[in-house]
Amino acid sequence: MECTQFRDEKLLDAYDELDVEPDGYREHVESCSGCRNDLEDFREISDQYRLASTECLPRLAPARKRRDHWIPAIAAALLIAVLVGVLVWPSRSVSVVSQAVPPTGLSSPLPAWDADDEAFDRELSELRRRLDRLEFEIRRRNS
Amino acid sequence: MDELVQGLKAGSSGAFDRLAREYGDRLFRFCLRLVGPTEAEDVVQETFIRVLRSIGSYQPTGRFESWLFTIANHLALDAIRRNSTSRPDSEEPVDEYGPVDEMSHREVQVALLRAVERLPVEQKQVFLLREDAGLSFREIADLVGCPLNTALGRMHYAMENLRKSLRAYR
Repeated sequence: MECTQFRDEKLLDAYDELDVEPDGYREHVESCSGCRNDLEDFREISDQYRLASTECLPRLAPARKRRDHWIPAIAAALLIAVLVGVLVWPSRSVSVVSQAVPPTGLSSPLPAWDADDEAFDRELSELRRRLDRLEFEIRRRNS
Repeated sequence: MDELVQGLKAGSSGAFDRLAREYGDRLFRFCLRLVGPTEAEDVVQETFIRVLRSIGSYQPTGRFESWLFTIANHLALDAIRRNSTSRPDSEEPVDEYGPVDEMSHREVQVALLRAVERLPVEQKQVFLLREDAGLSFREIADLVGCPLNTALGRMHYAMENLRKSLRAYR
């Protein structure tokens, strides 16, 4: 910084955020070459960065291990849970409809089919669809 | 903006597309400079997922951008912390911008971007929240949880560091 006076005000001014100018601010900046240089540099760095940031996106990163394997993992877990449910409790499909007669040998009635499971599946599918779409958008903009 | 938030709350896929269209680039640039190219996509994705999960309880007390970048900022800082403890020694740094052979406008741009990436995290965070996220210094101070003059001080140091880095090109 070429002049240490009005340090914060100069930054706010450079970004058009100086709502109230303190007494003597404008007079000082106009008469101080250090302050004028500071303001000019702040604006220039900001302008240059905005240009650079949009013009110079980096090349795509090298292949890496993705971290979103949890989605297929959850889907696989759900699938296994459903298969196990069908194999272990073959009468469940009946109870889904009737929700009344427990299979022989069970001391308590089977729980009714949980509508939340279906809602969760739908939510998961929707989330995956949105993620795919988002990933596509990011790759498209990045290419 | 209210329309976007209402759409997101209602689960409209059109609203989600609009969210990705309007904020995807800015979020990606912010994350890219803060966490680097290998993490940026993940952080952006996770940000959108968090937005979808939390939009139901979102109360618009400030600008939507401020809330959105608060989420991205937290996730980016988590990624930085994670990387600082788990980055393998064998990982070679990647020259993301490609070779720069001559003194040119592009050379200055690349030098500036590299200088931004080398800033200490606290300075870089404030700089990127102002430049890429477009938040005001007051919003940044609220987001970071520090007084306004602390946020401005960090921005000052950032500017000074960038100025020094660019001196060779002037």
